[in-house]
Amino acid sequence: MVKLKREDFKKVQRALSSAYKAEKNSEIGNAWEERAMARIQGLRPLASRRGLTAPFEGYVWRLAPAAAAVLLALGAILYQQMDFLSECEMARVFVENRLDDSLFQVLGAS
Amino acid sequence: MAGNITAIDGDIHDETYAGMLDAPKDSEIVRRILQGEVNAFGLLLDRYKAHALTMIKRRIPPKDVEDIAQEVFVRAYQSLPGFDPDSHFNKWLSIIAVRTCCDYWRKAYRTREFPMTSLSERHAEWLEGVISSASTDSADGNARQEEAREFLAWALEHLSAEDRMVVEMVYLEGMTGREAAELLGWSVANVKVRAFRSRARLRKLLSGLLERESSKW
Repeated sequence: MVKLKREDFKKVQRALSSAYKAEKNSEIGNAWEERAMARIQGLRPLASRRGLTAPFEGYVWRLAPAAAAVLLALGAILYQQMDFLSECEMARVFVENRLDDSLFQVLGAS
Repeated sequence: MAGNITAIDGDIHDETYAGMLDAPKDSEIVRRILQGEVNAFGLLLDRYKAHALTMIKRRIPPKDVEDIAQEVFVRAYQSLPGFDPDSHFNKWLSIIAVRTCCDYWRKAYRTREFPMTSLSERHAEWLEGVISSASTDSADGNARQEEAREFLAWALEHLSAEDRMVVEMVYLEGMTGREAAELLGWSVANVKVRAFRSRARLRKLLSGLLERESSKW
């Protein structure tokens, strides 16, 4: 494959940059401004959107890392306090005893 | 108007200067809008429409410029509660404009709504002319601008929406990585990686085109 030389590529880049920056001849009217204002007037006023939570909105993302850290810490504490051993014991009893025996015991059959 | 220093330079009529002093500050207008005076947004629109249009016209095909300009100002209005009154409205609006343009291209690439540009003999001639010329002067003439623009459109269509934005800002407009990152809301490293990859891709694309052209001869 023909490899474009660095200086040639720079020449192309400069030419493209010049074309990019040149003012385009497209005429833009004022109708879009009126449409934009009409759309904005159709929206609810910003003041009414700011409810009771508004003063705290700025803190949401700032506090997110701290909230995540607290959640992780709580999760770790919960994990340590949960009694997994007894749950395993229960599971083992059910696995070792056949289901029909357990049901007969429950139903009181001999 | 904030930042319009050139208007103050040189001769200026007293009335104009007084008008500038009387004009409400951006932060004051924003405060009025947030208090429910929706029509005050018209002042901001009037003040910054030229700046927004300049940014949009460079990045968006002419047929969609008006729609995107409208979208930028509607988004700006909706985001006003998050505007920091101590910052420059101009800069804040630029961020919204750039991100709206990026969204436009994401959607356009997804739906393939834009017509693909095809290259002809004159584009290849333009490329060869630029490469063989001692300077870029020959490519700067009005007669060659159209070819250059079409060529650019063709080249940018081969990039993703995100890479396209980075190439435009860093290589065509000459922004620094930090400036582009700030406008796009990405990390500087992300912008630099994308810029490097896109540049390599464009270079490969042009090399392939030159090879095809040389094989014709």
